Amino acid sequence: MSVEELTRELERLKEENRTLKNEIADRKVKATEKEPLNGYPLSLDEYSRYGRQLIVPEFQGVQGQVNLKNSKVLVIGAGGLGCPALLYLCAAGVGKIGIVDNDYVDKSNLHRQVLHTTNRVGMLKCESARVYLESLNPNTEVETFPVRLHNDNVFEIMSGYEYVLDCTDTPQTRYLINDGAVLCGLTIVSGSGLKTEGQLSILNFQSQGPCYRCFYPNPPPPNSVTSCKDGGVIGPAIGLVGIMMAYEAIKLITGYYTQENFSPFLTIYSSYPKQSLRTFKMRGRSGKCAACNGTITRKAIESGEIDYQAFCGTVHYKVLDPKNDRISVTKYDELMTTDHSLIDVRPKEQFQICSLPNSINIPIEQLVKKELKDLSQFQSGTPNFFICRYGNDSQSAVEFFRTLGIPSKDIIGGLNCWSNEIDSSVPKY
Amino acid sequence: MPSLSSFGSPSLLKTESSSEKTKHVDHQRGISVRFIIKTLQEVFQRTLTDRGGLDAIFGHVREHTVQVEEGSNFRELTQHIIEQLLKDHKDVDVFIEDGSIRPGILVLINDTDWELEGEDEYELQDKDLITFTSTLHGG
Repeated sequence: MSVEELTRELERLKEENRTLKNEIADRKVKATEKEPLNGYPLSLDEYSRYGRQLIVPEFQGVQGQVNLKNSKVLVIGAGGLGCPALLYLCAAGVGKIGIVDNDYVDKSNLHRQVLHTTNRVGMLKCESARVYLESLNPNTEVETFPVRLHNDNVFEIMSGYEYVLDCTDTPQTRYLINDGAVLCGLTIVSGSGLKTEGQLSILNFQSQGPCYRCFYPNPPPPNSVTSCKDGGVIGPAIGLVGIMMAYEAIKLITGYYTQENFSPFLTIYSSYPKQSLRTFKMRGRSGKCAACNGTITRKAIESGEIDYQAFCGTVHYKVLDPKNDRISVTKYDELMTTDHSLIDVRPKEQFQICSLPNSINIPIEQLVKKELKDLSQFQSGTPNFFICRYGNDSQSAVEFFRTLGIPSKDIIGGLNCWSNEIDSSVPKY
Repeated sequence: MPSLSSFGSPSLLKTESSSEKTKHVDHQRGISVRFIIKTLQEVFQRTLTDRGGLDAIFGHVREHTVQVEEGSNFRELTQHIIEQLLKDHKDVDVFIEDGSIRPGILVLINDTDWELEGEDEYELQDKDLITFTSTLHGG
């Protein structure tokens, strides 16, 4: 068995252990505490557990708590947004929570995905989240879906839920969730974030409010979409958005929002220079919207006629000729002692993390601004090599040098590949 | 490729970037519009990197104050931005698609979605604050 398999087995056993302990503890609690008494809608345990929120006027009192207890919320994505959202929803007493995520916990998730722990690296994220939530609040029923949301499972997964939290990270999934939710009549709480900023909105409010397509009828160009992996993200920035999502869900469920007082909005959180939240008044439902006007049907989605991948497009990096324009990490390793220049085109923050000996850092944005006269040091006739994190920007650099007439090659797979194949002491980040 | 023809004749507008605080443009009938470019740096860099022609289009200055003639509409502001602030007209498609702001860029006029304000036809008001920001997708 691999370490990962052992870790998962260990977690499974730990979970079983925990469940049994809880069961014993539950049986010790007097029946009167677990069951509502005559004339009371909640149990004694629930009054104690939720007392602090119950007495806040905006929460809509006992009825607000009963609404939460009877509510069914689907959270898609148990990552940077999903973890804090799940935590607060479960703690507040949502009756049933569904978690959709087919990804496994990775060490690089832990700085922001607060339900997962170091000893659960390698475990399914939805199961890791379940472990946390079940020990947090045994009153909440947790259903897990260790699958990727897709055209052919979206309706099955959404059926039985009333609200959906979009905690995903790609435009194609966001459009799919939107179309599914519009057709199933689910109100969406939508959040997103990157680097130091976040955005928050409520979509398809009671099947009357604008949806994601009303806001964004056309997807952004694929090369303008940046992931947390490529662009980075600060834990509290994405965490705040996740917590705000939980709060919006609570406001929806407790009945704060009505057809009369709900107004479409987009909230933007910025953490620099000073932390700020700005809420903008947004457009209403659009008659031209393909999801809201019925052009998009369940049949069209399930048959795959609506192809979200094709709709949103994919980035095509120019792939250079591997024979003439590129070299492998192994080949470069052999050439290291020969006379050459190695230019690392990553941003300086990444160069500071790790770099190869004798490499020069010229970030790609700066490189492409340079003119021929600035680059005389690379025109002496000795070979020029480019390297980056994964081997995409280094190809752009070779292309750029070609336009100036300077020969160069790039290192396939970048430093990530170097760490995998040549020197594992080089950190991967 | 989008064309500039839909944006009419060259404008007489002037721009003052926030880094040049000493400059003050005094138009008799002019009004002052401030606009902020948020989170767009990334978009521009990535797009331009692919093309290999990054030329400091907004010069890393995120906030600009523009003096426009009274009665100018949003289309004229966009025209001014692409003429005066994008140094290379090849880069116009980073900002414009099919004659308007391209998908993935949110336009907010003061505290409101620009769609509610008439989009390109919106008549600029003194001290308007326009925000251009990218839709985020990360989670």
